[in-house]
Amino acid sequence: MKPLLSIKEGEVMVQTDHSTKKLLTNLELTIYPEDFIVVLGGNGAGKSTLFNVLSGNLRLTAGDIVYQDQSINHLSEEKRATFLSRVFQDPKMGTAPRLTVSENLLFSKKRGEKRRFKRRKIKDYQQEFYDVTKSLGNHLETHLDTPAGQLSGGQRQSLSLLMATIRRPDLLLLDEHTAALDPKTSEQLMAITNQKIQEDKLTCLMITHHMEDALKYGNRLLVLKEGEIVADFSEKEKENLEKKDLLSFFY
Amino acid sequence: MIITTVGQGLIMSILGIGLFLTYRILDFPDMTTEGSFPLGGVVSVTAITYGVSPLLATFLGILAGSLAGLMTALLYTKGKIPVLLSGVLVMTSLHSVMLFIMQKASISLYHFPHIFEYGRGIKGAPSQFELIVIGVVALTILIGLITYFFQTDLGQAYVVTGDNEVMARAMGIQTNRMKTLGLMLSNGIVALSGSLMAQSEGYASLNKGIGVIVIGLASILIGEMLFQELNFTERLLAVVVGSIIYQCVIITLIKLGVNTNYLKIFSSGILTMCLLFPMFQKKVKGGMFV
Repeated sequence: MKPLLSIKEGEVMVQTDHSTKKLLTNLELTIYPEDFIVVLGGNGAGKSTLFNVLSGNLRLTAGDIVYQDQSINHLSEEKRATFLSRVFQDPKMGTAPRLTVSENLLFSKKRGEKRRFKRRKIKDYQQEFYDVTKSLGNHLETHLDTPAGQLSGGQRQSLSLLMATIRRPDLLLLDEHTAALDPKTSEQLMAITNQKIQEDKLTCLMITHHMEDALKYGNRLLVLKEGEIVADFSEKEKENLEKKDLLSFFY
Repeated sequence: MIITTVGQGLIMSILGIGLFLTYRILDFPDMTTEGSFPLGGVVSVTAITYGVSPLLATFLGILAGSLAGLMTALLYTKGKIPVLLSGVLVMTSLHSVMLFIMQKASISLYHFPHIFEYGRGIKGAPSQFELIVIGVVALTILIGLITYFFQTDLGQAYVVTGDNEVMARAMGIQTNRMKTLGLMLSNGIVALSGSLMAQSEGYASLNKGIGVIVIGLASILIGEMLFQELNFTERLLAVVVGSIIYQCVIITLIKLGVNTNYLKIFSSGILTMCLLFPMFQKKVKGGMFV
C-alpha cells in the first residue's frame, strides 16, 4: 500500500543557552491511509514534538517529511491545514468562544480555504449542522446558536472533534483530546471519536495516557522514549499486548 | 448647543467604532489611534486647501490613516515589536509626518469648502444641524459595511483570529494578515473621524490626537455598561450612544465651570470609572449574597 505520509531520518534539535538538546532523533515513521495510530510515551518523550513536526509548528532540523511524494518540511502550519486537522487537549483551544456552535462549524468547514469577502450564508447549513451535531448524542444540536464559550467541557470538545472532521482531513491529530474531561465524558467522547474514524475511514494519530484506550482503539501503537520510537506494534501484535507490557516502557 | 454636542458625539463615535475593531475584537490597545486621528484631519484639510473636493479629501484622510495602521502592523507582525510599542512608535513619527504635510503646526480651512456643506439646505433645520446629518450618513454607511464584513468568510476569519489564534492558524488562517487588515481598517476609520472633526472645526492641528484613545475607549465602555446581551450591530450602535453620553458629560462639566484646560483629567477619570465599574459591581453583588 502507498504511504500517506512519512518521516525519514527525522531529527529536531533545539539550542538552549549552553547546549543543544535533541527532542527527536532517528525518527522513521510511515503512515498508511486509514491507519489509526495510538502514540504512548512519558513526559518529555517527544509525543508533542512529533505532532508539532507533523502539523508544521516545528520544522525538522534534519531529515525530511513527505506527504503524497512531496517534501512538506518547508510548508507552513496554515498551508498544511488543507489536508491536516487537530484536536487539542484543552477544550478552549479548539473552538472560538464568542462564535456560536453553528458559526464555529461553518468556519471549520472551510478549513484551508482562502477566506474571501463573500457572504457566508449560514442559514443554508442549518440542517446539515443539526444532523451532524445530533449524531453525537450529547444534545449539542440544541445549542447551535449558543456561543461555544458557554458549552460544557465535554460538549465543547465534541464540537472541536466535529470541527476537525467536518471537512475530511487526510490526517487527523488527536493530542490527548479526552484528558481534560471527567471519566464518563472522556469515555463517551472516545467512543464518538472511534465511530467517526471508522465511518469516515480517517487516518489518525492519537496521543493518550489511558492504557485502556491505547489497547482498545487503533490498529497500531507507537511508544516514544527520549525522542525515539522504541516500539511500533502492528494490529496483530497489539491484540496480544497487555497493560503490563505497556507499563514496562515507562520504567 | 445640544445639536453641536450630539453632532460631536456622532463624529467621535466613528473613532470609537474604529477602536472597537482592534480593542474588542483583537484585544489590541492600539496607540496608533492618537496619530491617525489628527493625521486624517491634517491630510483632508491640507488637500482641501490645495483645491481637492471635500469628499475626495476625506477619502485621502482615510487612506492615510490606513497606511499608518499598516506601518504599525508591519512593526508588529514582521518586526515582532509588541503592539503597544509599535503603535507608540508610529504615533510619535506621525507627528513629523503631519508637520511635513502642513509645513506648520496647524492649518485653517478659511473660506474653503468642507464636507458638512453637503448636509446643509434642509429647510427649518437649526444651525449646526449639518453635523448630525453628515454624522448619521457616515455612521449608517460605516455600520452597514462593518456588519456586512463580519458576515463574510473574511470577516469571520478576522473574528476568530481575535477569539482563538491557535485554532485560527490550525484552520489555515494567516493570522498576521488578519491583524494587519484589522489595524488598517481601524486606523482608516479613526482617520475618518479625525477628518470630519477637523472639517467641522474648520482647522487641523498636530495636537488633536492627544487623549483621543481615552475618548474612544470610554465610548465603548459606556455603551457596554448601559446595554448588555447585544448582537454585533447593536454593539456598534451602543458605541454611538456611549460617545454621545460622553460628550454630554463633558459639556455638563464645562457648564458647571470646569476650566477647559483641565478637561483631560476628567476624560481619564471617566474612562477609569468605566474600567473599575465591573469590579465594584461584583463587590456590590457579592456583598448582597454573603
